[in-house]
Amino acid sequence: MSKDSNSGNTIEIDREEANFHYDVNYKHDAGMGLSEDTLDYISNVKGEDQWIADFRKKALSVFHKKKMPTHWASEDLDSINFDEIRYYLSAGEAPKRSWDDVPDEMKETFERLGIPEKERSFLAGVEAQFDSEAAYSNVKDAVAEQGVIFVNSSEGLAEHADIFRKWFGKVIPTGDNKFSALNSAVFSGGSFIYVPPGVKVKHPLQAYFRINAEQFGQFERTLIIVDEGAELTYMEGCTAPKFETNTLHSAVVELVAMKDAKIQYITVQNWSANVFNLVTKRGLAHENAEVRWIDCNIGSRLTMKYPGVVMKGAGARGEVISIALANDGQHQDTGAKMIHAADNTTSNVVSKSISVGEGRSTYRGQVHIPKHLKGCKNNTECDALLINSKSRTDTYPAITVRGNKHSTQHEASVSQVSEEQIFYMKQRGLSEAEAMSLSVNGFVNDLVREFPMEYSVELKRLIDLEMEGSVG
Amino acid sequence: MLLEENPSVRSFLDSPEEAGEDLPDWYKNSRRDAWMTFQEIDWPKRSDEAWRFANLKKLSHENLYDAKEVECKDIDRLVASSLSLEENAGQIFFVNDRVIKSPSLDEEFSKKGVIFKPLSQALIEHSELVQNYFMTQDPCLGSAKYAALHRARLRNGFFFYVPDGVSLTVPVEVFHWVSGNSASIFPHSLIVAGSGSSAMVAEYVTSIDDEISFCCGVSDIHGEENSELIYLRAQNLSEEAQSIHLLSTRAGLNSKLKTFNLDLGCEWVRNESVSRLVGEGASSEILAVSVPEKSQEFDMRTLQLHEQPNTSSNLLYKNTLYDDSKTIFAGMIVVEDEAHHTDAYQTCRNLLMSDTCEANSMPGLEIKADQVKCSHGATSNPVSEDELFYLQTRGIKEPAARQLLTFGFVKEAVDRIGNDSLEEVVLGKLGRRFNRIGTR
Repeated sequence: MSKDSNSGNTIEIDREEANFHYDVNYKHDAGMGLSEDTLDYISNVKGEDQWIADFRKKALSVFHKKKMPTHWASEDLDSINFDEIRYYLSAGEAPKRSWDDVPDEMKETFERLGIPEKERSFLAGVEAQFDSEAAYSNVKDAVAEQGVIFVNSSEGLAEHADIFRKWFGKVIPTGDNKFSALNSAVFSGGSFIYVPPGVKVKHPLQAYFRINAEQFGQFERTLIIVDEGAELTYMEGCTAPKFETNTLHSAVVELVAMKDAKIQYITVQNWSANVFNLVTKRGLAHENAEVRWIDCNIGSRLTMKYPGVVMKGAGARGEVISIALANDGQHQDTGAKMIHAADNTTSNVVSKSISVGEGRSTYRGQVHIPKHLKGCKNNTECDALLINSKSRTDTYPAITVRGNKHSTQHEASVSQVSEEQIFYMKQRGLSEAEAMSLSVNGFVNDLVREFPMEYSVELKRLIDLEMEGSVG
Repeated sequence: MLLEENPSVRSFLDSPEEAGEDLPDWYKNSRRDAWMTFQEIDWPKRSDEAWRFANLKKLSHENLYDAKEVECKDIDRLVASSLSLEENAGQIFFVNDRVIKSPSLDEEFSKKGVIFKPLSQALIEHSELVQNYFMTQDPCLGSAKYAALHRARLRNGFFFYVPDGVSLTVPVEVFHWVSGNSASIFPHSLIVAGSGSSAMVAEYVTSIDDEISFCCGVSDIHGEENSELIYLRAQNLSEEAQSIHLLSTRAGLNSKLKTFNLDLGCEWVRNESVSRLVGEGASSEILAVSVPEKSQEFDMRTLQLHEQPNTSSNLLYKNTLYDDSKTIFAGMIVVEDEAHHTDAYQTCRNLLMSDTCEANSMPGLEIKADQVKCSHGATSNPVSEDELFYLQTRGIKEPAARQLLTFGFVKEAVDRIGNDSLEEVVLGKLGRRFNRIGTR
């Protein structure tokens, strides 16, 4: 628990565990500001092919042309100063395959965050990104032998261009939005994963994103292709130290699930409260494939994230399960996008948000079912819990249905922890804080169960901690 | 033909006629200001969030003219041809925004100080009273330009004022007809229910012919403390017509307001409804039914604005979509900082009757207070196969069963009006519609 709580009745997040940073001797630093030179610098350091350099430059011009989406989104976006951000920072070394080879400062960082133990315990592979580049990347031999490729984006594009170039930028085109264009211009790091047909990766692959430097932008790019009948679970975690200045994290994540494939993508985002987290995530599901986004947003100053699934093949399924917690000074603007583009596709969105103190949580959703399809179904549920009288929550869904062979339903509710509930529990001998914590845990309980065990235990612990002294 | 046209043509995009000499100065100024405002504001654009999903091509207002004065030869036949209440407390009749028959009001109520008059007359006779309430509500759902247009060009409408403590147990009725090719009307409805009063109003907007026409109406309802009011508006303009209607209610302390919109006619309809709950304990019920067919597009935007604690609002919109029709529902519930203990509900249900219809739903919530109960729901579904099967096993043929279920679907909203005679009028109009659509 942090000591510098600024108001007695808000929840303090257990972000202290990640609140430290090291002075790292960066070999490559693209400097402040964004121009074609920045892109040249990145391409140079990475030794990229010409087509990638061209792709970056085209994206930069799209980025400049696009307006900030402040006509519908938070005006807080205008506080981002693109000239005062460093777009590329790295120690200039290739990712290490062995933990012992990782430079000490970085090793200490990840050890404090418990990455190596987690890997030993249950993961099939880990990639750890430190600012712009991966510091460590390892796939267990057994998984690699099945033909699974798990590398960072530079390596993926350089050495497996035949696999990745086909889908690179196809699910999320450069011009999708201003921040996807920015990412396309300056992307670095992120995971490239390929799972061959029929391979069911038993244990999750994990990526860990760490921002260490001040006034920095992290722009990882992830592309995951799961071939016919294959299955994969991928998890990512994010942390950063608390700085006075703002930090930008703008990722693009593209998932491709071929026929009958299944992808489960789990995020636990716990950025410090100075990070703008503006992320574009979308999956493409072919025939009978399934893409599930399981998303938990606890950190950041402003998160704007609407994971999407384009159901391109008949019988495809998309799902978004999300938990958001907005504390003082935070705005969790999350949601989901379900594009039905084939017959008999089904989608499900379940979103739960908790607003504490002056925190604000927002749900934005889009469901699109065009003409001439049949048998499409969508279910959307969003529930919001308000803890204090200054907390705020918004819901803005948009549902388009054409034709009478479909069925959609959307429901949202807003409530607070009822006084009767608290009273009842206090009567049974619980303290007010315990009662509050129990109620909030009950509210998210059915979603927490969707997370892998280690994560769900951690989530419950976080919520317990945060509920201390929050009754008001 | 029932009517005879007089010449005098003015496009509604030209500067409007000056207000009559005898009208009060504040009104003349308001009209002039409005015309300036109208010219300053841009037309809606595709990128306007308030116009999301709307097909702006449908809003071409070229070659539309201020409706001309027509001479009505057989008023009784006109009145008889429209479905209306069996019993009323008063009636006003307009064709093309001109009074065509002397208005009536039961003597019992006029003695108690009830005012029910054409607006043009009320502006002169009750200038101050009208000024207190005239266009005081902010058009915040995207149609500020149309609100200015209305204020600049309006010719008539009605003013209904119920003094403190007076109860009318029978509704008053207002009829608007529009006639002639490219005629535009700008009817204004101003309703004020004084403290502890209660009343009901039914208003019908109908085309006499099948011509293109345009209706840009504003209905403002003010419910003072402890008042109770029901307002019904039924629109059945021609299939070529365009209609934009801005409805706003202001519910004071412990008042109960209820509005019901029935939309049947028009090629393009945009309805904006703002319900402000400005007094503690106020409640507002917002109901609507529409049955679009062919290529009709009905665009409905609503706001339930809770400004005070212990207020409640309940919205139910039901649309039955046939053929290539399209509906847009964008609803928002806003609960302000201090409005604790608010109950707010919003439901939009679309029944999809064809393979090519399109239903867009954007139910929204913005909650800044706690101790609130809010929910919204939006569904889009075809007729349930199980229900059809059930009726068929009881010997009802499929087409008839389908019609029965459709009627049952909209009736849920109609039943909420809570007044038998008003419900009967609405059901009568819906019955005509469903019979004409038949078993499609």
